[in-house]
Amino acid sequence: MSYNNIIPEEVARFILHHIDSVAQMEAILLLRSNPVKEWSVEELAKRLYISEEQTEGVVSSLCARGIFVAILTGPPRYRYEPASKELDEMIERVAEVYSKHLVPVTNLIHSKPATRVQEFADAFKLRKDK
Amino acid sequence: MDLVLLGAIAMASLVAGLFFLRFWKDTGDRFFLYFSISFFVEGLNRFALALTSDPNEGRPLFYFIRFLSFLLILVAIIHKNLGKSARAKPPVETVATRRGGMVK
Amino acid sequence: MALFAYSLCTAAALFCAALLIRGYTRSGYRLLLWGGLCFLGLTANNALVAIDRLLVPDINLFTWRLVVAFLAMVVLLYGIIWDRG
Repeated sequence: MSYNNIIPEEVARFILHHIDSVAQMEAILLLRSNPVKEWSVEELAKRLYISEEQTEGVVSSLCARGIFVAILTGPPRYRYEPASKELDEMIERVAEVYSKHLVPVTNLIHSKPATRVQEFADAFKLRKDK
Repeated sequence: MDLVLLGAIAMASLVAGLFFLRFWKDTGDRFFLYFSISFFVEGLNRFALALTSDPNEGRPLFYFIRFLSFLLILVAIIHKNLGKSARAKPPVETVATRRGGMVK
Repeated sequence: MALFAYSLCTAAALFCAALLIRGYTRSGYRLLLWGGLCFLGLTANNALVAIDRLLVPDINLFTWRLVVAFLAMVVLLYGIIWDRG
């Protein structure tokens, strides 16, 4: 798996496994630029130029991946808080590659298939190393 | 009641076969093609059974065809485990097939 | 001969169910759960065919066989339509 020498392999792997859309990428970068600020869905949707429905999908999947935390004491707000230092470091690398090579990274994100259905076929592989 | 169920199962099998056909188109993995044909065959088999005068008669032909459809599934599994020949269509173009970051 | 055919279908369906459920426990991809349940149903359907034709020829299990197969297919279609992604 070599991605034309522009995107390092671990970064490419992280993007393929954890980032489903450019909107998600932009959301990560936006919240990361100000890690103390807590964002509401409306604010985020406005900044990202996407619908609130789409924004909710983005933040909930990023929370599930341990990149954002949700503050649920009132109306839900979200903050950048990666679950581990390694995650934070990897995201920093991703952000750097993204800022320098926008087109290859967006192409990589868009090359992901829309469904996981390949995993159905993969389940029939008898050996554990898939 | 039996005929209704038979027809419903037949239809559901055909629809499942259609979905698996779609998965084959989406992923290029021939595994799904085998599954698709298997479900299509079983769907048509059940339709044919429903058209007989006594579906519960137990004519061997229908069970033989079901046997074949399961064989097809086993072939799919064997094929998946035996090698890299699982792709019937070329994979979609990815970043790996582009050079130097330039979009084609 | 008939027993061989019924047994192979039952075993194949069970094999598929096992692989799909195993895949589901490893990845959490829900379509695998529905697929596994479908093939469990097909296993039961094929086992019932054998039982119906060979073990209890005086009792008619035909409708039950159909109900089981029908439910199995409903579960599969539900999974494909709702949990594909």
